[in-house]
This record gives sequence, structure tokens and C-alpha cells, in this order.
Amino acid sequence: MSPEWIVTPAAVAGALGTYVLHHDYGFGAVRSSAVSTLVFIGATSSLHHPGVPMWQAAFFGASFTGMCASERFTRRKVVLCGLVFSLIYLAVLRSPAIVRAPGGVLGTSAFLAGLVVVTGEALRVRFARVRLMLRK
Amino acid sequence: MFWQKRQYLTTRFPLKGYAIVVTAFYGGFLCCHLLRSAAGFGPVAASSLTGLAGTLLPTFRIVDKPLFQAAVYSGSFAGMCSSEIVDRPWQIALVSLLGGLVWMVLTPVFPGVGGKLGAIAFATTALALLVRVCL
Repeated sequence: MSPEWIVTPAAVAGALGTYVLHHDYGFGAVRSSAVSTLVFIGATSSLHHPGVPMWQAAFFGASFTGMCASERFTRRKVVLCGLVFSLIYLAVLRSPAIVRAPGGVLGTSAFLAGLVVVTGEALRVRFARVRLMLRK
Repeated sequence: MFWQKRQYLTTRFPLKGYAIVVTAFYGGFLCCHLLRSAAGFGPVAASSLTGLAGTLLPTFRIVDKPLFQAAVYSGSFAGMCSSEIVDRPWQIALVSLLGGLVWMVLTPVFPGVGGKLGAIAFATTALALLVRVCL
């Protein structure tokens, strides 16, 4: 079985874990991302599987989406961000090395995932308004 | 409006904030780079350890703590880049100066969206790569 399917649950866990540590347990944004990633690395480093570095990178990258502000992102949106991030990350894995060489690729993927979710939400609200106007 | 643009141009550059960001960015980059190259950590572990260390560091009262921690973390993301792009301390210093400028431009945009620190790191290292290719 391909190890790539675990990227999605790892990403969702990273995003949600960081969000919960940040907003429910009062850790700072940076500390919650770093601590959750170190816990994940500790939990998975004993597994002898070639996909482990990829899962750790997915968890780490998705944890950046969990560093968002709670006024802007609810838990449901953070889960969505994790899902979108995993798709972007899988696309990045298949991209040429020149795209992956600079640092911050994971963070940029997380930023894009956040923007996709914010834009999707804005479009959903706008379409709902238009539908209401058409009904009237 | 033209007069508004002129007003924008005459706004004072926040030198203190820039100095804090550049210093923290440099520290984060160097720490992550050393953890990877000297201690043999993977990029993910090196970056998260740097971020955690940044939150545990005592800071002076004049330094904005969240800003300092975020800049250290952003620097550590940039430090995850390939050592073929940036390797020597002066190159890291140049990247940090660039990183501070990118930070000043990108920080006010899209408030509250996660991943901005990584986007700053990506923009910085991509710019450094571009400069290296051009020179």
C-alpha cells in the first residue's frame, strides 16, 4: 500500500492538534506548532517505514494552518485547511526539485491552503446572498 | 491618490522592529542550519526544535516577544532550505536582511491566516536563489 494516503490524516491531525494547543490550552502559536510536531516525531520515529519523513513533514506543514487566529478560523475550517494542505503537499512532492529546494515550501503550502478555505467561505456566503435575493 | 502615495513614501521605516526581525531571523536560520548540518537532525525536527528554543529564550522588555518568536520560527523555516542555496554565515546574514524586508511587506497582509511565516521564508530563500543565479 502506498504510504501517501497517510499524509491526509497526518495533515489534519497536525492542523487540529496545533489549533487545540494554541486556543484551548493557551500555548502560544509557535510553541503549539513546535511541541505538537516534536510529539509526532517522537511517536513516529520508531516506525521503520520509508514514508515516515513524508508524514512528519505533512504534519509539520499542516501545523502552520493551526497557528491561525480563532476569530477567522473555526475548528471545521482548520480541518478543511488540513485537507487542502495535504492535496497541495502531494502536488509539491511531485514537483521538480527547484520548487522544493528553497525553505518555507511547507509554510507556503499552508498559507495557500488557508487562502483557499477563506476564499471558498467568502464565495459560499456570496452565493447564499444571491440565492436569497433570487428567491425574493 | 497621488498625495496619499507621497504620504506613504514619507512614513518612517520601523527600524527597531526591522532590527529585531533580522536578528531573530538570523538566529533561527543559523540554529536550524547547525542542527541539520552539525547535529544530524532532519529538517522538520531541526526547525521545530529551533522554534521551541525560541519560545523558551528570555527576552528584554523592549523586545516584542511574539514578534521575536515568530521571526525565529520563520528563520528556521528558511533554514530548512538546501545547503547548496545558502551555506556560509555571510550568506545567511544577507538572507536575513532580505527576510526582514519581506517580513515588513508581508506581515500586514492577510491577518490571521496561518502559514504566513513559511510564505515569508519561501519568498526570502527564493529571492536569495534568484540573486545567486543572477550574480
